Amino acid sequence: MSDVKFNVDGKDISARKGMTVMEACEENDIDIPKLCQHEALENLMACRLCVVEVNGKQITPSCGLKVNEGLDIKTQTEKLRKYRRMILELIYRCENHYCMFCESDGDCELQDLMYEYEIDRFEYPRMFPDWDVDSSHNHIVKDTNRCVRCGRCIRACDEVVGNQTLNLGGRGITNEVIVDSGVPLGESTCTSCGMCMQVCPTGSLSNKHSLFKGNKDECELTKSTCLSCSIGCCTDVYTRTGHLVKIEGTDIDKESGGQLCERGRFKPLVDRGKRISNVIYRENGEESELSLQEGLEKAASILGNSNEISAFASGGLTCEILDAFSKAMRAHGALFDVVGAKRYRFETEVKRRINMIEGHFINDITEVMKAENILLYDTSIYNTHPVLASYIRRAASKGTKLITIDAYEDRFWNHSDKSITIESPKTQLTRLVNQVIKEGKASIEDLSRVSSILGGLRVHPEDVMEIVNLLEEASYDIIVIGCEIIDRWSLRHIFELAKLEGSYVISLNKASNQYIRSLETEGVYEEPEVAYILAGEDEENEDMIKLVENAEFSIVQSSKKSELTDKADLVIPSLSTFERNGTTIDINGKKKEVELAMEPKGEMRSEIAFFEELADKRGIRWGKTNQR
Amino acid sequence: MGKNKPKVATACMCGCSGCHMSFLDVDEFVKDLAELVEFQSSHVIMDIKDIGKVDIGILEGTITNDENVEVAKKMRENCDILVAWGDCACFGGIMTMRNFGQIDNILEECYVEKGDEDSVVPDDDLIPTLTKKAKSVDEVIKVDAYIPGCPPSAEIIRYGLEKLLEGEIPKLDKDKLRY
Repeated sequence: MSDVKFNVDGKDISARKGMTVMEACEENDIDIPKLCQHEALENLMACRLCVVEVNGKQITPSCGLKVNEGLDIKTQTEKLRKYRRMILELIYRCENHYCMFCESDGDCELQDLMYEYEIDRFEYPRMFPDWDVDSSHNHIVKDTNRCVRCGRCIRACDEVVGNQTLNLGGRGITNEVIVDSGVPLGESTCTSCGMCMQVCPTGSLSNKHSLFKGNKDECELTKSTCLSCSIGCCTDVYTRTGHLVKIEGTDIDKESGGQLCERGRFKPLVDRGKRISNVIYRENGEESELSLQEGLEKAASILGNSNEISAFASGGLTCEILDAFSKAMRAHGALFDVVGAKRYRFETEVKRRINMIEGHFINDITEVMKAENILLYDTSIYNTHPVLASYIRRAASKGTKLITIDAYEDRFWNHSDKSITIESPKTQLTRLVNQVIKEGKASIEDLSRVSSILGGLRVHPEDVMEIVNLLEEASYDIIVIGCEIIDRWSLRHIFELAKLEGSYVISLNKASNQYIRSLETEGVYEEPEVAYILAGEDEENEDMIKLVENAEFSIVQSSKKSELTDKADLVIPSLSTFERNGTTIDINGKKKEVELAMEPKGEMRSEIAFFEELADKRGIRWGKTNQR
Repeated sequence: MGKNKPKVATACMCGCSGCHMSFLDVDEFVKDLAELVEFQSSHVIMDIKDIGKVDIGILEGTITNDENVEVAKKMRENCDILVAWGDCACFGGIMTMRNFGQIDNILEECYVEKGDEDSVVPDDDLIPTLTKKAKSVDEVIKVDAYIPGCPPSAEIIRYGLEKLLEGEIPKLDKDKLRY
């Protein structure tokens, strides 16, 4: 792109054509105040704090002014300072912005600007409007008294999360941010991702769980990766005196816009399960506490005396821990599996059987935003991969056709062009679609006949035709398969459809760490002599609970008390997510760092060392242990 | 300012005296200050409550009742330079929270609804009448210097006093300003 030369505060600078004056100034380290502009969002020109003088006469917001050859811009004249002070004061006078009793004191962009413009008195009388505080939501407090109407939350909800929950309502002094059509936030279509809160420049939207626990300057910051799902969002983890204060998203420049989801942002703050700090051993209904070393000896002797061991790990652990655990378990002759790996094994098997090439699989999930059509099997991705769900909503808002196929409620109901409800297996529907595509267009009567031959199916021929027509018209369509689909036939038919139509596939599984793709796993005994569960954050996983119930003896390693640890015969403490260092592989195959944010509490210091020692009991050594 | 030692008076209106406490945090500077100025009245360091003729008058707190108005006016009449200490005096502060509602409703809620069966809203000539709205000092009298903060730190209070003694009107820049 061609360069444009112009002058800012007497300094010649050049910028690429199409940039705004504000962006050009930012690149050249020229400071322009702003309140409504945010790098992840489109410019709105709402606050007017970024006004600059153009060619000595016009005063205009720099976030809306495109660079032009020969412009003469002044950013810091006395006149501009006067106007900005006036704007700040008028913002202040409309609501209740006293810093002293605001949670954002010290983290507030309005406060910073008031300092910058040295406001130590008011020229105008104040209004004292009576706004209610909305605390109906589980995680977010919405306080209009602190709102500056910058519209960041509204734009974030629309542009980044694709959810359009927040809007502006009312006019003049009754103007405020409203939720849906004026319902409390807790009863709205909010996905609880907390993006609005993250972009809010003041204390108008704040995190219930972090209220008054300390502002950012008082906290320690750790840059890490979220292990809630395989998207692996980059996170800023704030801790203070060894306690978690808040978690924020960071990838502002990327497509994700820095969003996280409810599980990534709030769950670790809400989850106050009782911490497991000792080894618990249960025998004949009696419970006793052991030291960590005794626990290790006990586990080793039980594993050593068993022939049928099922080892099952959470998919939300680091590569290093999964590696160490699998080696330790194999040393004891166990069958090894990870949450989500079963689906991946089926997928690989089906791919091999139908000769499906890797080229059909998308390596970058943001591609869904470029697709013409999205065919979504299983809408539970709304909960399991919320950031991908946001991309799908964004695409649908911009005109991409979205067809959802689900056994239950369509979680994308307000974005999908067509919702098909069909109980699992979804094979029948896909199979008919395949058949129609293969054999040429068929009429609805033909289809009805076919479906009756197939056994009076619950498939509507109209649905089949709609999918067929859609896929045949478009040149770039993406099929997204959620994690709930675990039967081979459904997978096979969906893959065959993709192959037939040249569609691309995003296939999801429940493992947060996609290291499972290179790790050797196999199905485990369903009723083993001994089950060894490494629970991670998957303590509610049904397969784990079933395994513990079916095993003669069960060992559960977990950081907090849960149904799993209540049922286990031997409970061994483990670290929590924020106490671990290591790496994870995201859905795009990228390796990301997981950083330690809090010092481990309790006796367990390193799970890897624990597993090395456990393997050593069977005379198998690797890694550091070898050099000992 | 006066020919000899400048005279200073301080008073607290509707406030928590936090600014005065912060003033005491200047520690040994109080000793220097005692040599540089003469305190005419100040409720935290001396017994004299009545404001007399002074060079520098310092006010803390919000104006919320008749007595506050009287104190503020008296201070203004008796001093050359009037300084507002703290967020309450400069902006209105936490006391202006009552402006978001109606004063009668608030009194009713505080004294009757939250009290026992016999509770009534106090009504006695000795009790100063509340003003309709809680106000910052400059909504009632002219203020010459503003030292905001909740409370302003001891360093800021000291900086303000030192500037005044040098004959300048203190103005906090962005590094010193903290609400």
